[in-house]
Amino acid sequence: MGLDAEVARLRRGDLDALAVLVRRYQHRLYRYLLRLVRQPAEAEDLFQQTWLRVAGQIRRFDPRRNFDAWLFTLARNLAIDHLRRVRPDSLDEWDSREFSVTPPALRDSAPPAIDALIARERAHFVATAVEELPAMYREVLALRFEEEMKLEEIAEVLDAPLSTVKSRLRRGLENLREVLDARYPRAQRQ
Amino acid sequence: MNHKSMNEHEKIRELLPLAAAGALDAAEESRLAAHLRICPDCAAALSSWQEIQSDLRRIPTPQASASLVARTILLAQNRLIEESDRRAERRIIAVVLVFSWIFVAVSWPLAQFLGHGWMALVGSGFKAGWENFAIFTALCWVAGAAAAILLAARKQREKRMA
Repeated sequence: MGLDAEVARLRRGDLDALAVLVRRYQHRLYRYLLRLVRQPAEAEDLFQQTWLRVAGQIRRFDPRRNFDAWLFTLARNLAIDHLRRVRPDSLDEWDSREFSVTPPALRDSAPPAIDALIARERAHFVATAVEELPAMYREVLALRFEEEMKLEEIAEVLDAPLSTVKSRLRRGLENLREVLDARYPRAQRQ
Repeated sequence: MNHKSMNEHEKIRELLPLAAAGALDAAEESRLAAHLRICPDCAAALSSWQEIQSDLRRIPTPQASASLVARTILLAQNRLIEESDRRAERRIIAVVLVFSWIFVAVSWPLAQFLGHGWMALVGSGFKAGWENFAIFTALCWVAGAAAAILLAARKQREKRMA
């Protein structure tokens, strides 16, 4: 059954449709929340809260809207509220315009011993580098490359104009490259 | 490279990360394609950006545990049931309210009519009796509302304790 049909059933209060939707989005939503808050326990809690909110507000959902964007917006709002309560400092990075990378001396002076392993760890490098980015960039990169959302959908989730999405995406990629080059010089990554 | 093409080169450099992310509009894409045909540096830079974006797509996906999903489904289904019960309660209250007002509005004239016939509805006693009846009904409503508020507060307390 298609997504629209499942959402329509959920709007009528169908419990099975809710279970189907939770399973359909389980990994994507959890991954997005984890990218935002970085702590698995917090991401799990927010995952539950998001679905509780979906159950409470599904009748207010306009079926003409994109369900993905609505769901991720709910999750994002909860994550931001949570961060504001628990780690207000982490939200400062949302507004930061400058982001600098200082490579740690230990990493620079201790390149991995076996080059073959580095290639296998490449994805791990990138994942670690993404975690070091400010939340506003982590978020937009996750939505674009992991959730594979269109720019318009990302703009809807972020409640921001398309130009802002593009500029965050560009800055996010530039910062990511900066981190990768500083932490894991290109020769090590390849 | 002259000054103009240098400027274009710098502008194109800014577009490269977005190009790798598939975030250019049609005009930007054709500008980029035209520039890449004459600039091997930018072509090389684009391929390194594309490498980063394909790395991003390969980041392992953290999995939500089966127990988390099962717990979430259970909690969310309970919330859905609660919401549905709450809506049903609201509907019943609305119906009862409308019925009560209609009942209040018609009961006095009806009682007068049944007791004394048509003349009772136009006599001066009707108006005085109606005012007393309205005051009495308003007092009943206030008492009923106070009882409803107290019961709702008690229900909330019990829910919180549960």
